Amino acid sequence: MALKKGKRGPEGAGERVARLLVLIPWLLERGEAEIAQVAKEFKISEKQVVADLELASVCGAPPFSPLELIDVYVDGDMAYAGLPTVIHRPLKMNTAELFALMTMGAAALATPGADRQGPLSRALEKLRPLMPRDATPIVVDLPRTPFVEEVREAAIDGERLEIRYFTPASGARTTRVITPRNVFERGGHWYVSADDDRSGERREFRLDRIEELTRTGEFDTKESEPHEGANWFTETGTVVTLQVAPGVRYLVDSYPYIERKDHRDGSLTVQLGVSSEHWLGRLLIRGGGDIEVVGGTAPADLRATTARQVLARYSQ
Amino acid sequence: MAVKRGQAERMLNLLALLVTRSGPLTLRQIRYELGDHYPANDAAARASFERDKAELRKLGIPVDMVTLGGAEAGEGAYSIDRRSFELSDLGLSPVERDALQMALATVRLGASAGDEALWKMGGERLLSGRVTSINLEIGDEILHALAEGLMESRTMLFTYKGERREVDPYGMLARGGHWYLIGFDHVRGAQRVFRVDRIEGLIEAGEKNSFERPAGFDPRSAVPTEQEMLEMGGEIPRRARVRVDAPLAERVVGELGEESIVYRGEDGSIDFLVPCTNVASFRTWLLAMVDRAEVLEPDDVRQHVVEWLSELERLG
Repeated sequence: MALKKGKRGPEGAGERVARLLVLIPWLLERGEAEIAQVAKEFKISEKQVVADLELASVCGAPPFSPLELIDVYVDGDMAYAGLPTVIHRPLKMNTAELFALMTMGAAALATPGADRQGPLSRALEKLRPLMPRDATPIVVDLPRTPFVEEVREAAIDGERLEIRYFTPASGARTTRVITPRNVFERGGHWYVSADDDRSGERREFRLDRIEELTRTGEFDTKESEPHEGANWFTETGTVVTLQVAPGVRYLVDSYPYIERKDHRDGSLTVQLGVSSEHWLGRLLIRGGGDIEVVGGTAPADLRATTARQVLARYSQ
Repeated sequence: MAVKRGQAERMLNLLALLVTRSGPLTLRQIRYELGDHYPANDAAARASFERDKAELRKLGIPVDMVTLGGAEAGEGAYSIDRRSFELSDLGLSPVERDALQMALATVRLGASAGDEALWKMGGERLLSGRVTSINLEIGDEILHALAEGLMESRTMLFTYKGERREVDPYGMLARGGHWYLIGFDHVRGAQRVFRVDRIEGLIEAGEKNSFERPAGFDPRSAVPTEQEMLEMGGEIPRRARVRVDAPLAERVVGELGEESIVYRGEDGSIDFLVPCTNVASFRTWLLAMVDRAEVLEPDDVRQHVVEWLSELERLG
């Protein structure tokens, strides 16, 4: 398939033609575009854009009169498309594209606060005839967490929010004022990345741990710099390597990892950032003997001490 | 002067020729029209032409063939019908296209199919960061394979948990940070759920329309939730009484519902009746609360937890 990222080696003719059959109708729709913009959009170099359009401009049907040539050309730093001579319309959607559209549409509509009668729903309705039969076999089930809508709105407007936040590791509740920047769903939970007045840092909070939320009516004028939760696990800087047996992989599967190696027997070695000793101890007792710490900085007897801590309850 | 033609140029010209001519053309006529595009040697020309045809078909552009009668009896003639590969006008308004653009920028699939669909609709990727993001990473290769199976009702062959499976894909569900494939497993003779990230190696797809999806199939109800998992695995449903301490108790109410409460302690702790038919799932659920939860009864389940922890303490 053309346009696939990460492919190395010389490009095949089929891939190049596939890209042109997407690019030409796209340009026809606009009439003109800066070459730099086309390059950025299609994730290719400017040189490639020029080469592609120069190739297309000499192609067409015999006897290759202007009306039978593909009407595109390059002038300076601009790309132009004139009449739809040979290529009129984009290619039909392939199954992967339909799958992607359906999934993205379903996910966007499942987001709390989404307008189910709005333009996105109408657009998806217009795409429906392209979909196979009448079935909708792809469902995106997003967690129904309170406050997602409120926090998203605050992130858009730059409004500060006062929250009461619960930290399971310590059992503590704190009240803090945050300025939400970016709201994201990952691994089945909603998070907000926000400027936290209490620590003076950008922190990530799990929305299902926000117990109370109050709008402050104060707005931050600084332009928001959304980021994608890439620093999810680097808060404390503690990194461990775990050896995980096949049967309990599910316990670690949903956590972001730094490095991961899946072995032939179904087991895996995974390097994770750890937010607290409590969290790691909990993981170790849930995994029983099937999760072992094989590297990093964790107390050697963490599993035993955590087990002892729980056992204390049962001996009272 | 003879110019060396690349395959990309030849393919575009062949496409242009066959869509602009009113009737089918034989290879002889095509070679005559396209002059020096194809090698002079008949066998080499035929091979190049077959290659071009196959590449076009891969792009979703079918080249039709009819066998001629009369003076040219037995000779094949080729044509391409625009309607077979061109995307019809979807009639999207600018607002609707913007909404799709926004949805595609919000939902991350880790695959380029969404971008390609967007370009075909004449849209542009939103390159600046979004306030909201939903991470449903699936990857290009597996997305293409699954989409083919789902959208075209093809039986799929893959390895799962070390076993070869033959599955009619009914639908997919994204939940809790995972993608699930639900389908009829021919090896087991029953409907089964597969975690997509545990499918090993490549997926092979069978013929189009090789099965019928059951009417009213809903992927949501085919994949058990965590609570349903706790109830699985035994003939007789069993429940355990679990005391959860104040800091976590209200959260468990949110998870299990008010109806599972059997007692509210003065200290804020709550006793719940929790399904424990599947003891392993139950234990994993329980130990996520470390020492803030305790099984009160039945005795054998309480004993199981104590033995589990004692063993971990002994292991060190």
